[in-house]
Amino acid sequence: MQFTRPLAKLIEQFQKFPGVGPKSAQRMAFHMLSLSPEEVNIFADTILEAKEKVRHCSQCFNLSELDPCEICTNAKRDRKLICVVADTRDVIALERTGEYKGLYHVLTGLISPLEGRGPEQLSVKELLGRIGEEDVHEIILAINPTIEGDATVLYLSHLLKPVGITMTRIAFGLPVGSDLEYADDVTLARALEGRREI
Amino acid sequence: MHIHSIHLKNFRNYQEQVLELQPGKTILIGENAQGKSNLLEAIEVASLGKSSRTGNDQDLIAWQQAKMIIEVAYEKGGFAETVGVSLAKPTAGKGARLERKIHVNGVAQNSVRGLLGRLVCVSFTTEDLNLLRGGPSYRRNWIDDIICRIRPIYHEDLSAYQKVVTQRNKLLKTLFEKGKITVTDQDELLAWDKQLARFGAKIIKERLKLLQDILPIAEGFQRHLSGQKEALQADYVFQAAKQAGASDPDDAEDSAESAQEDQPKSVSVSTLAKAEPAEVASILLTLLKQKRSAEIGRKQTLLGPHRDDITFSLNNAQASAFASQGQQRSLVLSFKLAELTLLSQALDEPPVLLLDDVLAELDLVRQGLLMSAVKQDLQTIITTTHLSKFEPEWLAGAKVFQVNQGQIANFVEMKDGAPAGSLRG
Ligand SMILES: Nc1ncnc2c1ncn2[C@@H]1O[C@H](COP(=O)(O)OP(=O)(O)OP(=O)(O)O)[C@@H](O)[C@H]1O
Ligand SMILES: [Mg+2]
Ligand SMILES: [Zn+2]
Repeated sequence: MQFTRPLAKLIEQFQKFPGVGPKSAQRMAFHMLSLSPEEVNIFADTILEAKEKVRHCSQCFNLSELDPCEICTNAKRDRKLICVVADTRDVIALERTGEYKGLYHVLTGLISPLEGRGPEQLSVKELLGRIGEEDVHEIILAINPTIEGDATVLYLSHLLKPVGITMTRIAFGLPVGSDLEYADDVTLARALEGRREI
Repeated sequence: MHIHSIHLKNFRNYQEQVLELQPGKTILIGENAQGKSNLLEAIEVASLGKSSRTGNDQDLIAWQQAKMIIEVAYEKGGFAETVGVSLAKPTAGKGARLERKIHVNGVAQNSVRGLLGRLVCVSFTTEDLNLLRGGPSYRRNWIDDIICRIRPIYHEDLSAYQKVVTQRNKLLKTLFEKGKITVTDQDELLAWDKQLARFGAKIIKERLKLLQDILPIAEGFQRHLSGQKEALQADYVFQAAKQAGASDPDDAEDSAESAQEDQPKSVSVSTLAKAEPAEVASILLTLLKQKRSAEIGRKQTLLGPHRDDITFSLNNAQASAFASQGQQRSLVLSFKLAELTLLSQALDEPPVLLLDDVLAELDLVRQGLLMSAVKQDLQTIITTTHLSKFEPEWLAGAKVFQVNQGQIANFVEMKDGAPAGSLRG
């Protein structure tokens, strides 16, 4: 016995989501069917609205309803600083700290040949454009220390070196409040590599 | 270090087996195809998270079964520890990947790395001659596995390097198919070159360091076995292109072809060993630039530690080409004994020694040398089909188990150099 076609199609749609297996997809589809028509309508409208209204800021590529986005148009922001991140979630994380007052540039991914992503698929050209046009003093790379993250950093630093701009990368180390003893050895090794004189 | 007990469930031809071991010598005797090597393999899997016998983990699960479990309790540095590895076939048919779980002292580990350096074993098998006769990958795995047991974090460098090679190969393939290579492509490739050089240099440096450490020890054994006549040498073969200046830009079309004919350049252990990792990385980077068109033409990364090799020589003659069978056996034994010695030093206690079918192949001199290594309070597990070829010393004090169709029978205490049963005969 198989699920009736419309239900099977719904399950399939959910299963396309990252991290969703067949079991969870079924659960979601059944939940969807248990909702009232109004609730389902609200859900569908929300999806359509988000898809329609959310787009990349034409300056920093952050996802936003406004273009330019709230950060790019904020007069209190320090326009001499650009923090380069892989995606909008990293912007949110950095904003949560409340510590960073500069602008952002979202690359919309990292270099990964296996996923068919090279510099041309990222917003690299636009980053170069901003550095050329605006009075930028420092580029901060807030990019994960993964194989793809490191490759992207190497690519960007090679590209930006001739521009003669200050480039920094955020430090990676031990989580605050964590115990050295329980730290994972790779994290510890990284922290040792990135040690600083005091 | 010694194993207290091994518990197997649906591993190879074992359904359910508990084996309790004592420190000292254990002999597993049985006819062919009964499960002797399988038991040693289980210990190896508990030690390294993989088997050297198969590249396909599914082979380890008993046929018709869905899940296998290996649990080993052992003593290390005076403390009781346990490691466990289980493999289960996926329930849903789609993503046909085995589910692997690893536990150390009851704590789940998210990577094989958690296992490394815990239960440490050294195994001698009839396959060891591949150190000379096998392909380069055999020698690379040998050396990498030793380093992983001494410095588990090396495993991380290895897998990072492997990921870089996979990404880079994909890029080379894309560029090959694209045909025209832009400045952006060049720059992207350069970023991957730097990644390759960075992790590659780490790996090369670690391998060189290991060779430097192991060589003098192996040399001592070889001198002993050869009556002080044979000097041993091991060189790291750095798979590199001809030095710069050899190619003329006008020959660009031929360069892909001539690059294939380039002889690997052998760099002596001492030269590379003196260089800082950053220098090794920059050597790699320069060579990668020279190889670029050949690499795109072949759609793969042609140089780096994943293509390096080690050559062994006796009195300056390459052993794989010139050493006699006996010399080859001695050389391999010397290196395996050196591996044992080195790991004992690194761990501050001897690892567990596994001897799979090797004793019968060794003559008395070599057995004697092995024996003298084993004497120093070392748990040794020996498999054999016959006891008759053994030096009596091996049998003294040994516990003997009979392996029969995936079942291990209670041991028979050795008395006066012979088992108290009727095993001999
Ligand atoms: N996944 C598996 N499930 C069930 N049986 C298996 C599996 N893998 C291997 N075997 C069986 O295990 C046997 C081999 O066992 P093993 O290699 O331990 O033999 P052995 O006792 O070492 O023999 P020899 O003296 O010839 O080396 C083979 O006969 C094979 O049929
Ligand atoms: Mg066997
Ligand atoms: Zn913006």
